[in-house]
Amino acid sequence: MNVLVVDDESIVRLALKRALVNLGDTVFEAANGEEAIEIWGASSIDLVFLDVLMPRLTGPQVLEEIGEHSAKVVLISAYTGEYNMQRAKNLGANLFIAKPFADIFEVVNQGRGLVIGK
Amino acid sequence: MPSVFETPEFQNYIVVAVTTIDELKNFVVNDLCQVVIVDFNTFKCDENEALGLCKTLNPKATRIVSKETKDAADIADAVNKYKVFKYINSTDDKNIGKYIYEVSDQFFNFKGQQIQLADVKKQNLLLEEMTMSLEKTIDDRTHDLEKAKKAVEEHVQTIRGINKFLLDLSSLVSVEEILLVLKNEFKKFHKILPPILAIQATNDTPKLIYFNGGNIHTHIISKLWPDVIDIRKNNILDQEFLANELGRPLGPVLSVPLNSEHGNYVLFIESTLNEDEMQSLFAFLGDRLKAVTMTLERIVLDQEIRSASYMWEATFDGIEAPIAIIDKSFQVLRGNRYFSADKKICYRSLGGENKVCKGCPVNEPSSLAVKSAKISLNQRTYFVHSYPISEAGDASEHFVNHYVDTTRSEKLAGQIIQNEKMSAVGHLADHIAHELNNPLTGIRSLSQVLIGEVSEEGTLKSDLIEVEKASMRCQRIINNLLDFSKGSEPSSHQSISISEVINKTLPFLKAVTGYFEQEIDLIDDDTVFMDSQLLQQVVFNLINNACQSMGEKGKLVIQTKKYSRDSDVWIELSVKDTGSGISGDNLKKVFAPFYTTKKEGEGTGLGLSVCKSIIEKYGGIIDVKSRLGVGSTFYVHLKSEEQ
Repeated sequence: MNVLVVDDESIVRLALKRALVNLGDTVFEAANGEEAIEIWGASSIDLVFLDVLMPRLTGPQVLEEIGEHSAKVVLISAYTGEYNMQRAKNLGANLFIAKPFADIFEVVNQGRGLVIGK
Repeated sequence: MPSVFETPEFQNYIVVAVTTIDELKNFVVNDLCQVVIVDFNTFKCDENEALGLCKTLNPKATRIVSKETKDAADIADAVNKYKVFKYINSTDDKNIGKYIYEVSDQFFNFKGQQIQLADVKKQNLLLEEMTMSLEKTIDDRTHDLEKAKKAVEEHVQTIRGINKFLLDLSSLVSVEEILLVLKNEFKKFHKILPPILAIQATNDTPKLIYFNGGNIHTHIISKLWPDVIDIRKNNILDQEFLANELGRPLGPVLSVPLNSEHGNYVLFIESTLNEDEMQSLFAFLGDRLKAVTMTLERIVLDQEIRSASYMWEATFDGIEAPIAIIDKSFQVLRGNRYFSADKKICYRSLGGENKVCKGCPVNEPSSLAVKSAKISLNQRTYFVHSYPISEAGDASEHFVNHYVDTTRSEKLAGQIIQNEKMSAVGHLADHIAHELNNPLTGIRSLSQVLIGEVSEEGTLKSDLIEVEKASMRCQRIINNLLDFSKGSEPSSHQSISISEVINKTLPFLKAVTGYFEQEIDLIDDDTVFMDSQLLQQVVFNLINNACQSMGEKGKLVIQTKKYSRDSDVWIELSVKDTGSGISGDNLKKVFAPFYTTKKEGEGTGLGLSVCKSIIEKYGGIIDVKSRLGVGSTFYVHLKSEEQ
């Protein structure tokens, strides 16, 4: 599947990319909200890992900009409390996973599972 | 015609010679005729007639007869009958004049003397009259004086009486005593009953004070007495009022108002005096009323002053702060209960010191401005406000000093600053933690991926596993830091061995500890109950600090030992270095947040303060001993798990 990884931290993008590529997915990277919108608009994306707190455009703002889409969205954030499962759903996302990740593989599987439908 | 002439024989006399009886009459009658000499030798007339005339017309004039005769009897008759002074026998011609002159002179003198005597007699009589009248006057005067004396004596008695009364009044201190004195004073009037006093001092309850039996009663009245402007007798309203209040009927009553600006006072006197006695009583009262009124006013005022004074003293003493009136030489003129009564110098009395407090505003040049200063006394800090008491506009000699104990508020202020620092640390830590979480997540995740990809051979996989563990630890630490800064409970408690933790941590510090001689002396039985990650952080921090303080060469000693205190078993971990040591001043601050001796960028100064928080959170104690030039030792005391 086509996966878009949006996070301003490069090593986080790298980790997710490596894990997904190992599972045979095509991974697009975006370092910020504008890039994300560009790439998402230009390609057919199935799954998006979207960081919440980024400079300039935040994750939720990206979702607003995109509007209608057919991808599954996983919101990721270090800040719990304000962003949680309910909020994620309200913002149009499908899942919320908190940073730091205990297990990268678990994170990737949960995300892919939304698309595959397990 | 009579002839008038002067002769040397009759000096001082004028001689008038008369030849006829008629002429004789005319001249004899004259007052100036003093001597008549009838010379019957030449004057031819009836002797008796002539002499009779002389005697009748001018009895005072001396009569002298000159007749030449040998018949004495003849003359004797006339001499006796007409009171002739001298008979001259005129045979002696030559000397007659002289003789007559001498005789008449004598006689004249005699006559003169007689006249004088008569005069004297007259004068005597007059004098007697005068004396008598004088005596009468003296008598009258004496009588008057006696009367006056008696009046004065009576007056003196009255004055004495009033004086005694006034003297008695001057020593009184209560209203009841006034009533007693009045009762005694009225005793002389027999028909008077003990008086009743109605008093209402301004702003006070009106009362009736009277005798019941031998005792004085004070009665709070239910209704105010009628207005009494002037003295009045048997007023119905007054009698009703009194009967009501005293619960008994009253006889004739005299109501005497005591005019005062400071209250409403009336004296009621029950009596059975008649009109005259009543007048006497009025006079008696008149002399005394003013004194009674003034005494009453004095007593009431005195009581007011006393209670006001008491209130002020109570206020002064009740103020929850030392307050005193001080003079320029620090003498306490008046101090409240914080000042010890026997010591008269401010700094001695308030704080037991022997010298002036540093910063004392009284010590500075005088002015009329209020000065405030902070002083330290007896291990307490005070904010002293010094208010000069202005005397005639000049720089003052006296001050009211008000000491506000700021010890507690200073401590609290210090605590607040500390809390704010800690809170700042908390926020900072919070922020940093979140910032760190991002890359750490990446590090850990990537490690996990790499571990999955790499082959089992070689050390790469195990090394990568170490990397992942380290990053996991980092995350743990950050989480704990986040928890700590939020103030929530520590996330994990475990039974851990200090030596195990030390041994696990040392490899990570190889880079820094490598330079130094090391002595590690750990007991076996050193289990404590706390979070292992946090303990590791503390250990890490202490060892790191120790090494950093030693520069290129030195000795690091790490020891654990066990001891008992107050029925508890404790474990002491010590980390000792041979570095430059910490100065006394800095020693107090070494656990404060943001305190660091390292250059900017090399350390945040958070390390030791976080260690302190961590250790104290688990009920432990962290401590340091240091000597400049020798080195420092940090001690961590934790309760042993086994008790």
